[in-house]
Amino acid sequence: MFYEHGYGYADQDFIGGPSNINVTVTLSGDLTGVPDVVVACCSYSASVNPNLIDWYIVSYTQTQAVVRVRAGAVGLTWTVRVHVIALRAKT
Amino acid sequence: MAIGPEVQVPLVGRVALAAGYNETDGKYHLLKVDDSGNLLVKDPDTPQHGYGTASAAVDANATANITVTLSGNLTGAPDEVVATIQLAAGLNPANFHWYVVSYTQTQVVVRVRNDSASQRTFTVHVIALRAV
Repeated sequence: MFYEHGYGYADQDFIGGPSNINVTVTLSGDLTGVPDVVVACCSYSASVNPNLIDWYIVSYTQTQAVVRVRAGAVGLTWTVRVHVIALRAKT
Repeated sequence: MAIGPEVQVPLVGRVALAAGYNETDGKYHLLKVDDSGNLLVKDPDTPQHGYGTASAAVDANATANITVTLSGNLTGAPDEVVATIQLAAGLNPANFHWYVVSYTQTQVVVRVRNDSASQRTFTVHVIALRAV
């Protein structure tokens, strides 16, 4: 079993060509202890080629998660929303 | 736990089940009365299923299946499974890919791809949920 620890999202603008940005997501929720499992997902506008966006989790603490996102294309600008859910094991 | 007036108690064999409304958190909770007449309040977070992490080193330009063994309330098969990879800081996310291959009651297999020029350690995080 597990507890919901925290969740949150952060919006990051990507302007022009591809760039790698560390996006910090501040968590809301119970936020006691350090999460045991963290998952992240990005959402963005329709019609964007999924090949243009990639991400992975870099690190996480009790209150924040850092997700590294690569996005962008020459001449295009869009906002990526990075979603995070963090869970804590029930002992 | 304050139980609101919406309690209904259908009898199932010798066990009474009820959905009780908790005025404190504003949620309905599954209640159960055992054979001895004790009121059992099911965990408000149920039904969950499992979670887990697993790490593996993956060579440059290589693919690997990483099996995550789940912990938790592993009853039945999960209905939803999500996974994300964790890697060292400063890498290019475009070089790393993953997807869920399959899952059972107790394990999830995630296939990962390392397109970078060096061996990387992938940590796979998995959450598995079961529908009510």
